[in-house]
Amino acid sequence: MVSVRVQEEDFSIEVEWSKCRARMGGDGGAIVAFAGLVRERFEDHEIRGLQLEHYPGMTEASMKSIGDYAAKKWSLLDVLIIHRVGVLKPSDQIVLVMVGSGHRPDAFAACECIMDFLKTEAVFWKKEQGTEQSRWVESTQDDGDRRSRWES
Amino acid sequence: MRITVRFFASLREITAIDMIEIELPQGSVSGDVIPALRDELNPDALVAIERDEVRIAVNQVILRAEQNLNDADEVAFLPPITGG
Repeated sequence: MVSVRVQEEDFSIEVEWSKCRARMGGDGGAIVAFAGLVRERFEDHEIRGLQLEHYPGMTEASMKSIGDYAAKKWSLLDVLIIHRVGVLKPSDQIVLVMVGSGHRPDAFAACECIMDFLKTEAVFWKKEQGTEQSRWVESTQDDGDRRSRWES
Repeated sequence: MRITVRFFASLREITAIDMIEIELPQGSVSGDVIPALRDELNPDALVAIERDEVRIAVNQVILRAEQNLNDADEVAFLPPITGG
């Protein structure tokens, strides 16, 4: 019920949406999807691209564990997490979280929770390629705070 | 025993090492890895891998406490992660 993918190629929300609907069958009452995109600016500097790195095996396990956590916490029928790696440009899609459920409250909450956990628990590293220099991105205090609110 | 050590992201850059194999005596524990790397890494890299926020994984599981190592184990140094 929880599936995860790490891939260099882009993904199609439309294709995944149809597959999610098909997997849920007649029990499905709601799908909530979130897609993260590469921004062209961070604070005051321009971003030319983003390099995403992962640890094959451990990364997929960390994503699965996040999906499983959400599937235990809410009543879900389908969870899909796709995360891209490699070199991405501004406006490219980075991540897709798609959650199918019988009812919308669980789908909304689970989708947001999974995304908050991906920020701090999924084993990825991002390097921003700026116009003048590159830097490895670190989690923010806000990322940690957003994740913590799900743990009560 | 032979242990594979891997560095990721910023730590790979500062150590200039993606993967290295080291030889440790039988009975070694996770805490023996960094001392065994002293001859392989420059001083800046040694400081970087010992920072508090660096997590260590043994066979892809984050280390919570010191543990015994076995031949062919993989020890990875992970800088702070940023998914999503």
